[in-house]
Amino acid sequence: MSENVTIFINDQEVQVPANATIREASEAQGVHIPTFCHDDRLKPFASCFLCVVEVEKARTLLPACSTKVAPGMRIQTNSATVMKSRKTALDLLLSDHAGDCIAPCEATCPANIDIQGYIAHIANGEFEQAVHLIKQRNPLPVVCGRICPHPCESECRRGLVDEPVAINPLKRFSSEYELQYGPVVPKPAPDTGKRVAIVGGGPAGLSAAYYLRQMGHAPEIFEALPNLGGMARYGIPRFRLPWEMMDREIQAILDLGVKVHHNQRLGKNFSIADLQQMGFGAVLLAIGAHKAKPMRIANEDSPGVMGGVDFLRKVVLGEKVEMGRRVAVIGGGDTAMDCARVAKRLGAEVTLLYRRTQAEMPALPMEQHETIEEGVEIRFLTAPTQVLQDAQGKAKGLRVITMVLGDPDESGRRRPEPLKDSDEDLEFDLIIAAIGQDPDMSCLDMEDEKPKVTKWSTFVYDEKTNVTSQEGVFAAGDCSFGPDILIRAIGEGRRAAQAIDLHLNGANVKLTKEYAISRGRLKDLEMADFSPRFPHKKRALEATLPARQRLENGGWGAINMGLSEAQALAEASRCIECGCNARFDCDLRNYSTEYNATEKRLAGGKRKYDEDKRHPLIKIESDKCITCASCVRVCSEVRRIDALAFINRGFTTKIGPNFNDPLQTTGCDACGMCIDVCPTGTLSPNTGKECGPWTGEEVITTCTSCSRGCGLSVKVKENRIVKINSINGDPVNGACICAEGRFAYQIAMANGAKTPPPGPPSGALEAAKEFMFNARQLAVVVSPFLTVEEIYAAAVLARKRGGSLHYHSALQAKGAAKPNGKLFGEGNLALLQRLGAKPWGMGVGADCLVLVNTPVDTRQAAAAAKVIAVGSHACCFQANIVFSLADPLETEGTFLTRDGALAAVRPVLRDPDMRAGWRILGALSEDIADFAWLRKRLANEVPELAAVAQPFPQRLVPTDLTPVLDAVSHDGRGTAFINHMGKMGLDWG
Amino acid sequence: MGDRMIITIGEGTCGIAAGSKEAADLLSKRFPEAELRSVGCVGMCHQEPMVWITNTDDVTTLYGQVNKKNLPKIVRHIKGEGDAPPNFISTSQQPDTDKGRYLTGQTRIALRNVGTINPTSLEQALARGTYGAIKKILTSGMTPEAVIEEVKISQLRGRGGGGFPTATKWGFARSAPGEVKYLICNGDEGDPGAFMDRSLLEGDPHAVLEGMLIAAYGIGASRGYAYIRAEYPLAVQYFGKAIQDARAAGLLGKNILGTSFAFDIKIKEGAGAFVCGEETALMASIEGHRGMPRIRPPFPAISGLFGKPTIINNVETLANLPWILNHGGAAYAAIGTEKSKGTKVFALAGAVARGGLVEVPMGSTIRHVIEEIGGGSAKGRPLKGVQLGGPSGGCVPEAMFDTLIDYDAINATGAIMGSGGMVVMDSKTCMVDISRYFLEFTQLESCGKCTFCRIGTLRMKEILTRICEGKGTMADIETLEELGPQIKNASLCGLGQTAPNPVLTTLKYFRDEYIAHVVDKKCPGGVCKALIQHTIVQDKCTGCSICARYCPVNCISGELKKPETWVIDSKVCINCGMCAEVCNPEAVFVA
Repeated sequence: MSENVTIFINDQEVQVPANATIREASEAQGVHIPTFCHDDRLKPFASCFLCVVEVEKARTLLPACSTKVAPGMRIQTNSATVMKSRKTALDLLLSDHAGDCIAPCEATCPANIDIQGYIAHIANGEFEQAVHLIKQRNPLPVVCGRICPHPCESECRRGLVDEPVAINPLKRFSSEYELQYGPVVPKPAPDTGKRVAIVGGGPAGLSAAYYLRQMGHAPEIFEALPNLGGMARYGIPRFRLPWEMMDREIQAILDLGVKVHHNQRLGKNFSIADLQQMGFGAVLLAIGAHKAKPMRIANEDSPGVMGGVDFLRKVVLGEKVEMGRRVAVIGGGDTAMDCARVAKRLGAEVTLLYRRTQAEMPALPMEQHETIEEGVEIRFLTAPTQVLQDAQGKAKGLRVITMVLGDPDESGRRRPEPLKDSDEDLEFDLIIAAIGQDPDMSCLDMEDEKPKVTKWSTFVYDEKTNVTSQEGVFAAGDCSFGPDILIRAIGEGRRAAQAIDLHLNGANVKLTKEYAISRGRLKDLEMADFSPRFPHKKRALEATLPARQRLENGGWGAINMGLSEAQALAEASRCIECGCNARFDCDLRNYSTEYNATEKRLAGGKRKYDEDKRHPLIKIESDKCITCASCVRVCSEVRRIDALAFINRGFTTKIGPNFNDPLQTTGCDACGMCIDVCPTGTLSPNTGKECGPWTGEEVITTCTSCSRGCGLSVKVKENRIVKINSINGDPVNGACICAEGRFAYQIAMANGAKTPPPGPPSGALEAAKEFMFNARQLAVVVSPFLTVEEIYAAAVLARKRGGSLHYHSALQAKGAAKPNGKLFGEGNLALLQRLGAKPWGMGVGADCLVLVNTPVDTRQAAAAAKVIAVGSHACCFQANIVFSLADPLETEGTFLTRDGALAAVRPVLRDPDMRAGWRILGALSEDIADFAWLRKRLANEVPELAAVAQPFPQRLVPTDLTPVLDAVSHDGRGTAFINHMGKMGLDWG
Repeated sequence: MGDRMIITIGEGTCGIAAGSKEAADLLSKRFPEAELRSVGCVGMCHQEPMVWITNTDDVTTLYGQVNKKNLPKIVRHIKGEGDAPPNFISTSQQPDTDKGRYLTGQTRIALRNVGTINPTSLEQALARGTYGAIKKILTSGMTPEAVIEEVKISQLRGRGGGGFPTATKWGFARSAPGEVKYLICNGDEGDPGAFMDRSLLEGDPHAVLEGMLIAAYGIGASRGYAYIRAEYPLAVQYFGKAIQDARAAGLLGKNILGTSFAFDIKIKEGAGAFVCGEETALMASIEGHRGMPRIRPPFPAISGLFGKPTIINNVETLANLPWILNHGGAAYAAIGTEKSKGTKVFALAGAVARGGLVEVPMGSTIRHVIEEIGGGSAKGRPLKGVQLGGPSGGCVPEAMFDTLIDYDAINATGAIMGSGGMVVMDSKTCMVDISRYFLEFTQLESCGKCTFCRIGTLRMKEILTRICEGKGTMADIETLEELGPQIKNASLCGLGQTAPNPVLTTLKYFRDEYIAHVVDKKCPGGVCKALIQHTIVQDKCTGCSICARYCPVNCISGELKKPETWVIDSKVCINCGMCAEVCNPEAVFVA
């Protein structure tokens, strides 16, 4: 039926094929209809009911994926009823969806660093890549690595197993490791010529500058103090955060091309209005919070009383501080600890007064501990009521009162109340009030038109876009949300950069947040659900100097030594990867963002199923399943295997291996098409940290595992294959790939192919040539599964040396049934035969054998005096000389498919050293100079190759080479794959 | 004049469960000379086990609830020695007694032989004229088109619930191309409380078989399946025997009745899922797949079982066919209303005095069925409403009991005719609780395929549970009203499309009860444990202490024969209701 019918889509009259479904008809008209359960490879199913449309006179909404058009049909694809139904469908699905789209560490981190991703890199020993990932969110990882109070760790799911992963020490380790080799300086986008003034060179300002510069804008920092770093430099003592480290990290930001104006204070040297007149397209206020909070007690402005941040800043600036012998520090936060420890290092006898008990102290436990270790006396439950003055009005001590804890206040901590008649006078020479700080809004005094300020002395701003009340003026960091931890300022700086970018481009300043579901706060989860599933392992501890050593030589040296490399590798492997493997390509997540869906509106009971990791390659997390059954159907309808099934009825329905058996016992051949079609993270590669999850660049290439020539969509991240999927709509093989195509890259990784294969061992090449020169009868035996270029290079070698060319056909391997069933064992036979190759068999005699990626029966090999093996996998017998050959996935080349088309094998990993296969063969034949040369020469003999050599839009180029369908048998990759499966505990035939 | 006494005993599943085997034993020992006959269930469930005594004068007396205890009185009455025992129902001379009206108030077409013949006897079926219609068709050379025409004249509509005109459906399959066509008898009766199909299959399997033959001839099917609930072992057994006997008698198989017409039937026992009663899921189940519905079109009549044109008819629909062909479509169409013809079988249950299987002409009122046949309220309490159509149906309030039994009239109330479930509710029924019960059923029986049905119905049930526990809010009621129509609107099959009906109709007619739960934290029906309290009304109490003896948590105390001392300790009471159940003077007050 090819005739057309007239229908109306959203009141638009259109002609569509009479046998089309509503969805097909709409998509053809460019009207997008969302779906989970539909895949072009599968029969319509209609289960998710996301694709509903309204059809005039229909009794109910209709699923567009499986309802056929009818003449005169009037369809509304986005009416209010339709949109409401879709949102409800999503709300319902989310209400029963488990998991953490993004790991809670990342979700908790105020800068949203992809922590799971960088920890996976660290676990793989890829410290540089880890830092690349960190710096996408945080340009100051070394600074953070030293001092961040790491809220991420307090939500770490590993805490439900034994102890949280040491996230911050890992960040510190990798970023300092990378700093040693020169910090990452990413290449900024082309200059936009747009200038941005950043007031304040602290973490927020530096972060904004870093990201603005990368977008191609020209940020300029106006810093009131002599040096950059803000509170990181002037509020944190250098024994906790060494300046040399910080300076190098800041320099890396400036090296992008960021201008800095030192000693320029807003409200003194310039005003916001001045900046706007100077031609800055946007102003970012990142002035921090540098004004100490008053204690609100009598005589606190006496000489001899100062604020905590003022004290710390003066010390850094080298200004003289009248210390005396006895110093009191008031407060229980990190600044109080820092003040006490600095005063101690300056030689004072320090007493810290805190009005509650140690249990309520907000300073990090480690800081408290170290402060006490260093000899600071702490008086708990003690509050000052009055500064005592001497005759000159200078402070000479404090009147304090003892407190008792009453009922909890709104912060949940018990409120301190004064104990009657417990006053006491204490003598001090210097009193440091470290009870908090506020932004100093006197900087706005020069302005005619001021951005609005809250009653807490912070800027009125939009927490989603950092926009202030004044057009073109943004705020970030402590001056916008109030004093908080450094990483929050860094996160704000980046977000402000995004908002400023939109503003500079004249766009509506609106930032959308991607939907993410969470299993919940750590405190609300059951340890029993996690702890038994993982082997327990202690958290790695950073080495810290003992207190006595910390105070030696002035006490300004770094006190925390961090993790060793061995510790870091072990610690990174403790991550339990709670973030979803599908986070970057989950349809449920994307549609939920689009339709503003939420798991909370229709919340209720959830299915609870443990993840099934029994199969070595495929992981099933049934509690993420939306029962679209695409996996069941692809397995049954396309692969005809039926390894997966629906289990249970009603609400508890889930997808799983038949009868809940281990997947590998159900007839599954690990093609992984179920992973391919899964719209959520229910089915995913069971590959652990080798694969992230990370985002990657998609490379479309051709599978070289057999001669079918299936298209592969390979996700590549920094020379690492992250995931391989089929290409829906690929003309070859019904757009299905097999286990080898999908998972063979793991063999390459297991064999160390991510590092370039070693060159020929010294002298080996000469020895090999010597063998061949002395041979009476040379035979070159190739696997039919090599690329066209490799086969051709082997043919040149044989021809050049007067030998014969053979392909291996003697062994019958039992292998995986390939998709569509008849593939296994066919190679580039048409090409080989055209090049005059003969099958290798018992009758062929040779005294020198060159084996190219193919094993040969030991008895036959024994007949030859000399054997040279070129291969990517260990051959099954002893060769005299062995050369390595890169895995085909990493080899640029061309491939002759079973259907006679030439398929380009695109370089997946971009390291040219990977293309070693033809080079070894070329060196042996001494006739091939480089790849371009080889291809040029080959193109003369196979005209279609000329087309492949050009950049072309299609993956497949038809040729007139007739495929020879006689089955040859064996390929080295197949053997290796089988061995690999065996090692992973899978019986593979 | 018979030469000996005949004892006829109802031995359907219901009769056996009520003790008919024991009653038969006892009677045959008392009257060893009598002939013992076994028949299917006549439908008076409230009277099982039932016995008909036909004396040598051909007078038949009907007794219900025959057991060891009341047997002596019955025996005396049979012998003409005493007054009618309390369980006397009627005699053939005077059938229209109060109790007998249960049967006399009916018009039995589908159930014409049920309860009167031995279902395992082909001879008895033949004697009652079964297979006469198919014989007439085949021997008179009536064309399949003429058969369809006759059914068209009868205006018979599918009795499974959909009410689609049978002849029209057949017409599609008749004209669909293809050598092989299937006829399926849908006996996967899964509604809680419904047993129309079971009684027919157990009580008159040959009528259903003949119906299948007629349908198969009409549509041109050569193969048939009887999809019968596996939980109906007796039905499977009897229907299996009927197939065997019919085959042996040349009524099934090749060359039926010596003609070229060939048709044979296989029994497929159901997969134990409610949803398998849905046509497409049923076919998937026969094909060996998980019973999950698929989208229509293609309709089964065009592409059904194994991709062939397939007609699926309900047991009751099929049982009507021989009658129609024997008496003519016009005779059938003479019964009923304008658009609903013939009779309909209902399973009457709940708070009604006389429950069981009832067949009435279309156009009767609901009130007629409940009050005339069913005898009204069982316990004398005012009736509140009736649930029609099982868990897929809806609740019709008492004020609307004069609604006619007619597809369109019932649909207009928000309920559906369905397959014939009729559950009567009185003032002690909580409408929130009852709709939760029905929703829980459909929720558990969802196949799990569609989003709205799988998750949406659970969310509704959770909300109803909250309301029943006194934790509901007005926002919850709004969510019910929002989710209900959305679930109906976006589900693939009838299960999901009708699951919210009980909730939506009770919200429509009994909204005040929902509000009482949510706002006043009261359960007007006195059912929801979290919202009720049991107290003893001392004026009515006799101080007998039976309540205390039955109380599982020992929270009732008082002195024997001193009503004023009896109290329930509400702190300990779990509101199980046992005291109210056992209290004879109804002195336990629930509010």
